[in-house]
Amino acid sequence: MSNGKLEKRWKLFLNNFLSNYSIAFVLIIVTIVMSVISNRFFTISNLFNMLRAVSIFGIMAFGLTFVIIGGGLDLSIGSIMSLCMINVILLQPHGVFFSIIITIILGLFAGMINGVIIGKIGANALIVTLSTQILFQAAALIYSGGFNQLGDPDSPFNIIGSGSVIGIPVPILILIGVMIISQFILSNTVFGRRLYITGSNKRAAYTLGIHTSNIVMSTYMISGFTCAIAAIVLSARLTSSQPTSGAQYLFDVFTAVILGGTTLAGGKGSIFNTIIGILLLGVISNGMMVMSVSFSYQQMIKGVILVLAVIYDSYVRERQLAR
Amino acid sequence: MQGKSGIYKFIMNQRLVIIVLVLIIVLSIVRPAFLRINNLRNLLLHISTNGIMAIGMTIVLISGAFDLSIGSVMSLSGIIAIMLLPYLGLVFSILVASIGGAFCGFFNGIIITKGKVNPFIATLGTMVLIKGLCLAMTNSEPISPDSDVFGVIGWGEISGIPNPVIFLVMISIAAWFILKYTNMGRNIYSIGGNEFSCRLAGINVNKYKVIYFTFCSFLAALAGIIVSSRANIGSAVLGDNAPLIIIALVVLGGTSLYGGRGTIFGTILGLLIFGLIDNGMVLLGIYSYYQFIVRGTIILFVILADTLIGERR
Amino acid sequence: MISNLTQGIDMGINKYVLQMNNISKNFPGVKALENVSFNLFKSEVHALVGENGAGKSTLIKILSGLYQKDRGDIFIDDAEINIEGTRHAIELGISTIYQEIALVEEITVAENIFLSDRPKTNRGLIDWKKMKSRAEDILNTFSSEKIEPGEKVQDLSVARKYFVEIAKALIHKSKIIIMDESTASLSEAEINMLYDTIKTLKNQGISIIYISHRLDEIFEIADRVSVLRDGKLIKTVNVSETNKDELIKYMIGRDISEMYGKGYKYEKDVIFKVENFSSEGVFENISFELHRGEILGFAGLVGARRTEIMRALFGLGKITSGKIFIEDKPVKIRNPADAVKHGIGFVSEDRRIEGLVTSMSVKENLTPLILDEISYLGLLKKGLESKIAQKSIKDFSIKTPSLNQLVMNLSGGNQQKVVMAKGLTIAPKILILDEPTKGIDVGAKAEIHRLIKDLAKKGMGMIIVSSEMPEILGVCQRIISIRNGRIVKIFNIEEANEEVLLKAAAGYL
Repeated sequence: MSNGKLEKRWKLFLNNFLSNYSIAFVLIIVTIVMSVISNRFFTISNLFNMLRAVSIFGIMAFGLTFVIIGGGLDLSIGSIMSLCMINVILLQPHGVFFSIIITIILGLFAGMINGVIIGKIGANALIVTLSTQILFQAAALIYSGGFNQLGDPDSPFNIIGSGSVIGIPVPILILIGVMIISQFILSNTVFGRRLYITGSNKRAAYTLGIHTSNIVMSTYMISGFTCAIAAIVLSARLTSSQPTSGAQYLFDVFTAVILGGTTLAGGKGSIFNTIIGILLLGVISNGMMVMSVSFSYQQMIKGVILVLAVIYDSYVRERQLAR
Repeated sequence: MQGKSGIYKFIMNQRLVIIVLVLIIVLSIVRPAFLRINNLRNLLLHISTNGIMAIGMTIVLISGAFDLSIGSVMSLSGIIAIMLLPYLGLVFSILVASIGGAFCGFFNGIIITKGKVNPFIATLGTMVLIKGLCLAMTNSEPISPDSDVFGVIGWGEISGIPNPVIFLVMISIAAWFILKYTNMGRNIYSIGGNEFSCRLAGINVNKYKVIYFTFCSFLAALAGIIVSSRANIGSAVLGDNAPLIIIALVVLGGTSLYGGRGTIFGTILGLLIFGLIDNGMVLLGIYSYYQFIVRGTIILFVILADTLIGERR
Repeated sequence: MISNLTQGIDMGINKYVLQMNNISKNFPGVKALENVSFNLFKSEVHALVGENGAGKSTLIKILSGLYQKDRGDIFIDDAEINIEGTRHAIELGISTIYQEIALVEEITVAENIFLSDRPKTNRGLIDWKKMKSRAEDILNTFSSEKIEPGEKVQDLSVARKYFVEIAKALIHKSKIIIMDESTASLSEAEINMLYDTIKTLKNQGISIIYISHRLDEIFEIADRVSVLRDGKLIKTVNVSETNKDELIKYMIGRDISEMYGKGYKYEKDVIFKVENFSSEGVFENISFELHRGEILGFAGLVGARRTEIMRALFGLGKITSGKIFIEDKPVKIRNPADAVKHGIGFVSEDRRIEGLVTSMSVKENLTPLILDEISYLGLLKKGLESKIAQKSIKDFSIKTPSLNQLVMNLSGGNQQKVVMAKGLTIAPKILILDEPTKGIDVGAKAEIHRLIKDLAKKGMGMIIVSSEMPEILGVCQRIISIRNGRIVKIFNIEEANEEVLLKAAAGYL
């Protein structure tokens, strides 16, 4: 009798494991393929390059994960990042710490604007964040006067972008830090649990006495926060900032989150999923670069990947609903 | 008491026309340059491409769906037309580009009806996909037509009226007619209003949805060709901000994001309001970045209002 | 009534317009219809009655093309047919008017009537004038009420919307019109209008299948009546040859003198008091008291608004007046968080949508109400959570391979136990259960009933909403009968039985 039960448990475990972690297998396979195709791929320096490249959108992806688990969408992340980049460089003369703190507050505030309109008023997330995307971008342009802002090449601020601690580049450390904190929040706090419930079934959440509007608002503020962090890291590395630099990141961040398996429907997903997505996208981008694929084809391929991921996501959701 | 509510009702029902008239009057007073023929012409030109796309979007929105891919289709059609120009000549390259655009709409429709994908998500995906295609086709750089004849579409005129405006007028009238006198047009309202009821009555809902998406993308393609013609380039970023602005002005014109309601006339009014505001800002010399802020804010408010009203219903 | 019968004979050899022979339909685990044979004369009004779940709506959905029969034959005008879909059913002359009106609100009456078939001019364009005049003609043939064909449907009253639906049926030249609970939202005057219309339709040669819980109506307009019970056709009889009591006996079928769980008495103190609780347009003047250790039942027909009352008590609805007292203290309940704070627990009618988060585990579904209690400064104490979940599983005998099993994989009965266990984690003083054993098999039902009685013995006050008579009679100590959002009567268990409850629910007590 116990044998039969054991077998059932094992089957159940395999089922859950495969459906959740199949993307991880894809990652492993793609990595193997890439290293076979080019022997330059699996070197420490290349891997570090890749991790450095993914750290920016990776940090933002962790923030976006919160929003998507809650059932929302944030298309304004690129613009929030642009705004924060301009801010952090412009405020450098007033002190490094000061500029960092103010920038973080700015990111939180921008997220709060999204959060209030979407969470409290209940407007459609897609449209709202599309509009705030324009608004924040415009703000960045006005703030910078349309010009790139140059930072001080000798400032200690730059360590954040180009320094390393015990051999590991600071951006990667920050990425790991954000990852650990995000995972902790999602799986070990009351807020995280309520977020999952809100994202899975808002009606049930409300009936359970959960303040869904506050939860949703918080997710957008978290997203804004991670955009600010990413902006700080990138400006430190480039020692400058363009008022429009954030726009290109929207796409990569989104692809990473969805590819990793966090569904747009909400309620499902985790930091682990997003890590896989980040790495997968990083490996593919890096691989294409190493193979000297032209930029525009890279974009198109990434576009195809996103579309396929989105369609697959819808398909999985339909199947779930049909149960 | 009766009279008061009567006036109130009248103002609410005609609020768009009133806003348009108010804007025109205010602008004429504050900047008399507004009334110059040149300025009015520019205004009409400026709004005509948006208008063409807005009509397509109106149809899709009333039927209860959404199309975010119109911007990318716009870019794509301009690129196709310019690329084919040396091989097929003006007329045929435009034809092929339009059909290509229409096909994108057909593709959207199939994904949404057969694939059962939510229209938001589906057109978000195709928006990215088509843009990627544009980037690949042009190698991420704007391309130029190798012949001046391409400019005819955007710059030409017939008895003093610019071509784009003529297109807009013809398409508006055609759309109005279809929406009033054909089954295909009327079903937009039925399907958007109560899809279940339509299925029960035996109407082929899927077929019509595909038709509506095809039509919307076809119009986006036309608009794209006109814009490319006027700017004399084909570029993947041409249509980047289009979806948001178009949706906003359609919603402003009284079409609900939830479907079932809307008119061509309303869309034209929304178009005029947006156009007048833009024109006003230019005449008043408002710094271009602030224009973005004004636009973004208006869009936000429009969407908010529609959401709040929609929820009350 | 006798003249109706002779009328049937007058129309020549009792011609059948519809014959359904030995129809069976199964759903997973449920025999919805078993060998049902039903027929319909031309120009007849044939009523269909039965308790909730007896099979009426299944039979109707087979006729309207929404479901496919598993076995049996259907003949229309003596020709055997197979109804393939909704469009086909309409083409065959069968129109169905559902309880939820299927009209497009934002367009006009005329356009709704001609939704799939708009009149065209010679050149193929829609002829609005013709549409309007034909709509007017059709509406006038059966309705004395003036309905403007140019009015938008959303501006019409429910009764008029109903007439528009009838007009739709007539346009399609229907021979059979099915009316499902048509009078649920109509006023007295409107109901009389409907009766006149039905008579007119009869005279035009149309047959009507009329489903209703209100036995009065059946005796007012029907020629024959068929009683369904537990998926079987019990009897078809001429209305003139029967009476209400007999019909009720057929509908219930059980031995009325069954053993009801009497047992313990509830305590004297009132833990929950509701005064003049009203929500405009939904329910009115609900006043009652709940004692410690009492199980109070709310009986009534589907649509009587009991669920709305309970949801409002839990903070999920709009209140226009009324007071709530918990242990003699007045409280304000504006949302579920307030309700939970005051010790009210709620088990929703729709466990799959509201009661559970189906994509999460059993453990996660047992603890969402006490997250604050099992955490420290916002951090979850996972060990404590698992312990509490285990305890709930044991206490309620929830069958699940593990804590982390996804709740969607549990059986209906076990899912319901999870919902109840969850509600009880906050140790409520008052627990409201809405249809607690809906769709659950007999064994699990009995378990849940036992659980409910145990909880009451321990002093919890419970309110149960149920449409199943045996459940209410077997578990409750007092029963409040609700009809159309108002209290009809409050019974003690000793004076309650199925007959009396049904009469109260149907409105003639």
